[in-house]
Amino acid sequence: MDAAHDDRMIIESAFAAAIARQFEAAADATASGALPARTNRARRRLLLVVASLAAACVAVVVGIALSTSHGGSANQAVFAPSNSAGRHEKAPVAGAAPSQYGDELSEMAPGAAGHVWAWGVTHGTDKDHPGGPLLEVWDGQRWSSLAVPGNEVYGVAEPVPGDLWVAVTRKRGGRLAHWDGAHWRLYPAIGFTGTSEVSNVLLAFSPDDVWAVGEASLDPGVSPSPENLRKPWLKGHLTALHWDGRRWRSVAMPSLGRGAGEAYLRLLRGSSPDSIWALGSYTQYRRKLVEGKRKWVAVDEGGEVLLHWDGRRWSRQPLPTGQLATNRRDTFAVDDMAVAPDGALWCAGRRWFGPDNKGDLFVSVVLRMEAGRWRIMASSQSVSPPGDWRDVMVSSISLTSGDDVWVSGRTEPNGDGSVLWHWDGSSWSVTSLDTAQLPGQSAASRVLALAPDDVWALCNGSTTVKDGLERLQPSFLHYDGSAWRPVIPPPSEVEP
Amino acid sequence: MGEMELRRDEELLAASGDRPAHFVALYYRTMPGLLRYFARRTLDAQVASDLTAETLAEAFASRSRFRDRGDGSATAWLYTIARRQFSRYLRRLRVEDAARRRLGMQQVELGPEDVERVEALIDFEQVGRAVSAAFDELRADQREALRLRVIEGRSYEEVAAELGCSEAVARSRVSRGLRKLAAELDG
Repeated sequence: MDAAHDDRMIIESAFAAAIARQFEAAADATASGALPARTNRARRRLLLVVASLAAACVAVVVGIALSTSHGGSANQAVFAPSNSAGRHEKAPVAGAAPSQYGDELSEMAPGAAGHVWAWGVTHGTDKDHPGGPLLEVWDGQRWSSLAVPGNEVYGVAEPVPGDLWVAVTRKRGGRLAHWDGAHWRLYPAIGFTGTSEVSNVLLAFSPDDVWAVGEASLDPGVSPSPENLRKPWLKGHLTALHWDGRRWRSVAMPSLGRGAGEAYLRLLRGSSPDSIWALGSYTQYRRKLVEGKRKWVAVDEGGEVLLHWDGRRWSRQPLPTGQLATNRRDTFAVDDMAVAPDGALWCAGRRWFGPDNKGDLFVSVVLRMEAGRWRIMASSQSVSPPGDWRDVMVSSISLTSGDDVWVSGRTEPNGDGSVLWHWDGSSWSVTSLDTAQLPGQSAASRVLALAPDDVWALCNGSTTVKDGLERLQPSFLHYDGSAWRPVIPPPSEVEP
Repeated sequence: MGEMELRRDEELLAASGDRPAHFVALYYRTMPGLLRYFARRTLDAQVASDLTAETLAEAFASRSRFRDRGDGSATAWLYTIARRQFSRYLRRLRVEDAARRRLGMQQVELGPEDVERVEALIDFEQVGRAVSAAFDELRADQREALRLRVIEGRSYEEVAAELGCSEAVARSRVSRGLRKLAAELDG
């Protein structure tokens, strides 16, 4: 059987047609303006609502309408009331009915003056409520949501009140958006093109010491065909951007070597200006004979890279698999990192055992690296949370010191049980979060520790509104040193 | 607008920014290739189909960022997204659905007939031939250790007893053999 025949069989198959119908519906919905942040309407009237962040100030609400012509410009500011979007009661567009709508938060970061930032996406319902990026801030009293000048948010940093950086994507690629207390200004950036992969790419220590990472490419639209390997960024170059208070400059990072392409950094964590860690991925290419011609061919899509900034330069650091694996299939994958004040790097992730151990299984692990040596601090075997230890999936890690480390996780397969592991310097304890008091079916996805008696757990919940339609709503559990209490932000205005 | 079928992939992709319907044509053109790419890497029809749908959904969502360089760039661009999806899958052993959910798309479950069709893309015979050829290239002691450990599923203790060597040596023969095998298959 030849390839063309196989392709025809695939195209004619039931599932291919089913997926095609979904793309048709999505295309219709986009054409009619029902989908997030891609529509002309959304570009024309993107309302930017930003509460003033000055701690003692009365909240000043400002809106900026972006001009529509060719990418828009943040400079043409007009004032608009914050709630001008109003409430609509329209049904979803026929044929494009979303299965979910509402708010979903994916990340948290600490801000200045006790602020906590959380960001994600609002899933839209219809063309009057197209949804879009979601940015929320805790001001010490309540959560409120702010609009951002972009389509997706990939990182937030706030070194001092009224000085806010947000990594966003726009039609032409990644931008670093700066709010100075009165205006937004957009700076070109390395591209942020992953949708669910890149989680936090900004880190600030002071107004003149801000870092950003992302794709190495300065032009995310460039096709990374193997033939383009001549381009410096496909020779394995990684880039970090640094803001010195006046401009963004590119800071050299170690090369990944020849044939390493499509490199990007997806996570940036640090505890001080001279202890910063970046985690990324790349694809390894190799020269091969293909139909008589020597070509670059992707041979490994799973390349991982860990980098450290010591205040003077970036250097490549060993990955846990290289030091801890007991056989070829034994693999460690890092999902989240946190840097302790003592400079030690803590990671939450997965260890996958190949068939050389007891079957194909993976366990969640907490790892720690100090002075170039990795150690396993916990695995779901050793911590033994309620239920089957094999089924806990850790998702995030946060700490205030090496004696106060929090890890969030869910119990699979349903993903509806939420657990936190806590390390007090000598042993691990397990907390089962009571998410029944939160809206819908909620489960914890992130943890953020600001102080031993100030810890946030971010949960995302869903409620079935009617057959095949779910309403999403995020909520938080806050720990004050003695108990976990629910904090529920007001939902954004989207309602079908 | 001319006949959709006559357009190059790059033109379809570029035009789909303002006329999203063009993306459906692109879907039919590129889907079998992407599916084959994922099927051969995951050897799992459902996972491959999910990864394909997610890749195309991500491409749809970021289609406005595509630039036509006139060098077959649409394919390369799509496969960059595909490789990234695959690397995410390797890391998490789970297919992401963020891009699909943003478009209001749901997972499509494969029927038995669908699975058969996707598995036809994998070409197990060819994969099997490549493995067996690479296996024959191995040094005899590594080949034997691999056969006992992987094909017969014996414990290292048994492998060591059978080969008359220590367990550590058995382990190292198996791991070297596997590494060699992987290199041969890559090469």
